[in-house]
Amino acid sequence: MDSFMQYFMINPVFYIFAGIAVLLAIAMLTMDNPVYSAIFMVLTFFCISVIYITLEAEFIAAIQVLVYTGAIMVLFLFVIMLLNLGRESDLVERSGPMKYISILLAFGILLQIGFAAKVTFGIGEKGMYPIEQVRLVGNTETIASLLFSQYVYPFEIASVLLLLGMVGAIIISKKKQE
Amino acid sequence: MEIFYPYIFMGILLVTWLTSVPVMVLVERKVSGWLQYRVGPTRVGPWGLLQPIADALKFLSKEDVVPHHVNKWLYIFAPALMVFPAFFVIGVIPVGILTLGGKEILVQIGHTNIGILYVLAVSSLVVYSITFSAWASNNKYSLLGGLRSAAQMMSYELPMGLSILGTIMLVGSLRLEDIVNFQMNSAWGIVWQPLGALIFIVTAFAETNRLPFDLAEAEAELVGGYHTEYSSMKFAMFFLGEYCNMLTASVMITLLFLGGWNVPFVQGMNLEPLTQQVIQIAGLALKVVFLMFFFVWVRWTLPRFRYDQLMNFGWKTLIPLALANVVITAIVMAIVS
Repeated sequence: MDSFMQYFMINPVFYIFAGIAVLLAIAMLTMDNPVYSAIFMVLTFFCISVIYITLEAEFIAAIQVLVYTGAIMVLFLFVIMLLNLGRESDLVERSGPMKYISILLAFGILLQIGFAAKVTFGIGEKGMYPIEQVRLVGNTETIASLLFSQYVYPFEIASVLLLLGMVGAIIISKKKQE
Repeated sequence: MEIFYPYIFMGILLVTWLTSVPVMVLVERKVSGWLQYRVGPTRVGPWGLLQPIADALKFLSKEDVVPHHVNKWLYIFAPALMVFPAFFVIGVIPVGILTLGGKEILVQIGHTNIGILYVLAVSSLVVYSITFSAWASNNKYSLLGGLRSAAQMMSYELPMGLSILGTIMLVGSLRLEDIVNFQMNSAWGIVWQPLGALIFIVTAFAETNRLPFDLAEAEAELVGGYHTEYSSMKFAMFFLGEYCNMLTASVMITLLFLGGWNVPFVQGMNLEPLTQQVIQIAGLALKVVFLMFFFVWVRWTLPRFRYDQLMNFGWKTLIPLALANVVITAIVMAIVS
């Protein structure tokens, strides 16, 4: 417990918001009403953006709120609200023993991920962009210069893929009208 | 002492934002009156100056009805959600520079290098209040109004973000204070980016749900839109949020395109630094007051859009124009440098 307190004192904001995020994520999974689930997901995203800020990644934090919280989750809510979901009680899944087996499996996978993380992520050597340098140049500037130099091809390919998705959505919605 | 400045500024800015609401209610009613050849409110206090207090008392003393068919928790939560982003957004807005104790201090609560992105991100959360209030009310008109409004706000967020991009490219920084300094050293943003300024102002109207973009309420067709089922103070909360957002939008327009706290010729007058800085802050306030008047002026000048016109205007006119503005700015910058 001592070591946990030590870590906590170094960065209390991270531990508080990480804890809240985990609780909200659990609440999101256990809610019967999908609208409530969506609300808890929004709040989880918000907590995650606070964690980004404690990591001095303000740009990512702003984009997280702007894109995920401000746009994508609103669309999720739209779909949930407009689909006629019927009574709340009909939505609850009751499927006997499968439920308990899946809980066991989920815990197994969680342990595996935790173990893998413990083995992989130690404090190693510093990479090319340590926090001191990012602070010197600025968070947004570092991301921008990397995106448009070293990672310009992946960046462009990702944007073309998104464009394809958009064109596809328009074609599908046009077809139905005819 | 210096570590207390953010808290002092926080207090001052919060009080400013809150007191602007009753003032704005009065201005809205008076200016609406003048524009329609009426006198506006005159009965409460001299020239109707105490009208906002009477309005507030009316809201407070009304019965607070929670209809039995609503989703209770969300119904109560939604109006609060309208006010939260309206105040949260003040966190990074600079309103001037003051020389205190021999040091130049920026009047701003939190210093962050994402300035304007923070404002965009937080103000995009307003859409939740409208969606939740619409859905929780369990009423057709509310749901239609809420969906319309949410679609409108998401569509107009895109051109809003794009219209600022030109200014950000010119300045090379997302910090609002850098943008103002850039305008101080050259010309106002509206000279550099006339098209960007126009698009930003139009989208600011849409984002604050003001006429001609108030399809969320549209009394004639939707009763009251998303706030049909709300009464008393919960109803007032929506207006509190709306007026605060209007003030924020006016401040943002001033900072980005009207030179912020830059007052022409005041730097050449050799005044005491503090006097000059107070004049500059007053200049910012004056510009914001003009823009608030402009909001009311437009309200009674332009008719409301039809929904398809609104969507076509947003997606087929504003977004291409904003994109063209970004490309033209980039080309000109490349040629000049």
